[in-house]
Amino acid sequence: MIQCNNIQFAYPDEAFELRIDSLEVRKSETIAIVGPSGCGKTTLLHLIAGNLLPQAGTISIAGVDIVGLKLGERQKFRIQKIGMISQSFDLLDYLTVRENIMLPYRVSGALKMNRAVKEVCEAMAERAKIFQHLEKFPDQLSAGEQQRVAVCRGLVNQPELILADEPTGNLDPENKDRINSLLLDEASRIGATVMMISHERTLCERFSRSIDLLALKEEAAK
Amino acid sequence: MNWDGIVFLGFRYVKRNRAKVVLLIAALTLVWLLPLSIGLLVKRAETDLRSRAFDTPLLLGHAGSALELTFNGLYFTKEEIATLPFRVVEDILDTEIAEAIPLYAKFSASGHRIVGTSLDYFKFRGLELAAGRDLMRLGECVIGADVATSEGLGEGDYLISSPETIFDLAGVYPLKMKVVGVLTPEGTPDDDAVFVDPKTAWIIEGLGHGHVEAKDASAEQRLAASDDSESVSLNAAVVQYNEITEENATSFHFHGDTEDYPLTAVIVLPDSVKSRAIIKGRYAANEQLQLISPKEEMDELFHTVFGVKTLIVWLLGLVGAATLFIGGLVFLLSYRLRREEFCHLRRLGADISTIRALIVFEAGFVITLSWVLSGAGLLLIEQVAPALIGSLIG
Repeated sequence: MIQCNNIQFAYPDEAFELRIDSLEVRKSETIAIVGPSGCGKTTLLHLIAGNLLPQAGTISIAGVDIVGLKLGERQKFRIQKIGMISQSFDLLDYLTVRENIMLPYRVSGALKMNRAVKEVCEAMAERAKIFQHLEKFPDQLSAGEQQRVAVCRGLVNQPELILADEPTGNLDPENKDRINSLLLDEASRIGATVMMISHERTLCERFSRSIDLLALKEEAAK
Repeated sequence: MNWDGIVFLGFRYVKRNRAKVVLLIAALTLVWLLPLSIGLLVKRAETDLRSRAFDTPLLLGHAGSALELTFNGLYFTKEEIATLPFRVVEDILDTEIAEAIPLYAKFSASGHRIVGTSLDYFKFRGLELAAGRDLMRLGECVIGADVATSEGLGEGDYLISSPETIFDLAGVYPLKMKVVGVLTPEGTPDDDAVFVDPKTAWIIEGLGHGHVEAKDASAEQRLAASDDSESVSLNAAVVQYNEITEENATSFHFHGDTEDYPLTAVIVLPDSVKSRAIIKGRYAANEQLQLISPKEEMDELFHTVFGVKTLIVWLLGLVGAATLFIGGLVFLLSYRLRREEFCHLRRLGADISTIRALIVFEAGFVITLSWVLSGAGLLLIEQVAPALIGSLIG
């Protein structure tokens, strides 16, 4: 599903550098990316999502070399194939829960709204136990509920790849576990590959495998 | 660019932040509306006032405020101005170089000014009857179109003058006047006037009256020991008529010389430029009377009004600029606060043109709505402008 080879990335005017010789993730695999703060976990996720481009190397998602795609094509590919979930929920406070979940269909020309999307949204909200909140605004929900909305929005387009950047970072232990389960269950339901950044090794136990990014970088440095 | 998404997000944002949006729209509406409405009102007042002044060559009145004389003679306001005697009309006519139209605009009926004048006034102003006939007899009136509409009056109806001496037991009772004609609407103060013969106005003032014939008076209406073979003195119990009819018209009479009876103004119509100069020269040195050119008075008035208007518009412009600046700041700060939101929308698939269009849509919504409201406000002000200007000059 994901094939990264000889990636080199550095931010302009910063000492940070990310080098990875090889990273391969199979379809439907669930991967936890672990490593200390500042080692480049979020950068790696954005490289795989196509939000950032490496200075060297190739990144292939589902057989498509995203580095070689033009900006518009890359964006379209990302919207259609990849679902992203962040730590900060990123919900729009002026939209209801329902509207937030279906937001990708509102703002992107690459996705087409239809009745099936609404059904997917409601079914997912039901499973995430936020169905009764669909007409509420985000500020009327708890942090755990807001993150469940964010998970539903990341998965509403049934992506082949889910990239989650510490989605449980702001939550209490009970909600961490609930969000983790929701994410993995939904991914399993649609057969999606999951790549999630986490600082907490206990949460990674349910994943197929963990990748220590620091170890990957050290290997590349040899 | 995804227009559906832009409109959807734009309206949702406006709806959720309606308090802020309403405040911005209200502030911007005032920024456009205030200077425009002041300009509109001044323009409208200028058009209305100037056109009537332009059509009135000269106005003769008692010495004093030329502006008050202009307002009384042209717009029938300022009823408390000093009067001049009726004989001046004869004096002007005697010169044979000018026409003179008397005006006595002092009393009112149901809030409408009663204007005592001659039939020449209708000809001079080009007033035409929509119904009925001209004034022919004492106690009759011809009403303007607005009077007819607001009071629901027509030919054959009656209109009663407002009591002028309510605390004077021996004073004048209101006069019941018969409406014999209704004028076509002109969009001038004539629409709101009740025209009568000057003598009818004098009767309202109590300078003329009608009562039972002395020979027909009952014993209690006669003064004791005043009855002799030559005359009969009557007391206050005598019945005075408050309506002039065919039967009692001959009993109406005036005491004293009508040449001394009051007028508030006289419209003077010289037959040439030379005549105008002669007439002006004749009254230039008169300390009791003043002969003015309403056009010149209006020019002077509007010179002052325009000065004030310019000052106000400048001040409003400064306040407006400050408001626009603050409004712009609100938008700018709002967009800085929403920078994360826009980045997030980008990650969800919105292209940069969609984000820009969303910003323009929200700002455009506020500005457009403020323009629409300003336009509606201007239309409303245009509707009420005549009444507003009327109340200002009243």
